[in-house]
Amino acid sequence: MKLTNEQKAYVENYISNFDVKYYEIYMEILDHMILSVEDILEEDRNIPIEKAVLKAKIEGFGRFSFNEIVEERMEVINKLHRKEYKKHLKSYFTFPYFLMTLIIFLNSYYAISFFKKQSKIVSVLMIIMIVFPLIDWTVKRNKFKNKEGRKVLKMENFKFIFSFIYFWFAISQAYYGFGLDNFTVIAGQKTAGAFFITMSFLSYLFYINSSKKIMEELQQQIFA
Amino acid sequence: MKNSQLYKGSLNTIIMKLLEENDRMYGYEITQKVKEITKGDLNITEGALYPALHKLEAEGLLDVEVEKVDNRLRKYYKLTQKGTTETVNRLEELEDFIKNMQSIVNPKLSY
Repeated sequence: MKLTNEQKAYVENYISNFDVKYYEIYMEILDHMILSVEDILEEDRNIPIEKAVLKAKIEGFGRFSFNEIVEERMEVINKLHRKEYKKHLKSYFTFPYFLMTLIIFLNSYYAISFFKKQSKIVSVLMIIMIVFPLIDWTVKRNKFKNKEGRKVLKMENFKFIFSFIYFWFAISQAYYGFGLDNFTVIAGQKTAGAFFITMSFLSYLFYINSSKKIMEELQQQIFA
Repeated sequence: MKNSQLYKGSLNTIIMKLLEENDRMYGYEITQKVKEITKGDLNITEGALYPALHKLEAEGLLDVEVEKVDNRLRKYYKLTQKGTTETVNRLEELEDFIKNMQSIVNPKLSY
């Protein structure tokens, strides 16, 4: 038995009471609840919509909120990104991509050598690598932040993959004493600087790849 | 879902097997199909189903297609190439498990 528009609105309002923040989760729960309520009403046409909705909720999702699904979904996605990031980094340390990594590393090393205040140069180069994805993320966030008044879960992924670039910046700053060291660094520190720049660049490439994939999914699944 | 670790441990394989036979399915359809096949004996709760689907999707075993049905969006799940291969492996593993359990629980009936 198909629900009327009023009955569908009741289901929507009912789910909204549970504060399902993300659109993707809401969309899936709404479809499931409507289908479940339709079947309950099909079996017993005399049951009021309120009872049918409550029954669908308790039998399917338990007595409590839908947050468990939301939290689990976030955890799964973040775990996936961590796994992909490790795989991505690993690929740049194996042949043939290793040659590219080596070229980036050597170029960074010699680029640093041209300057007197080498630790500052490392910071500047790494800030540049942070700024571009940050602008990109901000633009996309403003464009695809909400759908029907709810947050888009896939946009949260950008924050997570951006954090990989920021991680290397934070590590480098900790290593160079948060920009307090103005002096020419020794060879070992220069190597470390080149390493941080290389890792930031590889993380930046990961951001570009992942961002492209996420945008395609967003266009197909959410904003089609 | 039946409160048994045996069923819980097989949930992913059940989902993958159904998707192998039905090409693509949405969440509610999966729960109803399982109920239908097992004549109501096995009831997969949504609280167990969606985390399993999301995990399989994250592992690259399932792909997602979203379609507008009755003026709302519906999320369909289907096996990826990797998922199809993995289904074969997991079903073989499950069959071995059943065979071994059969041998232990009821040796006379074992095959």
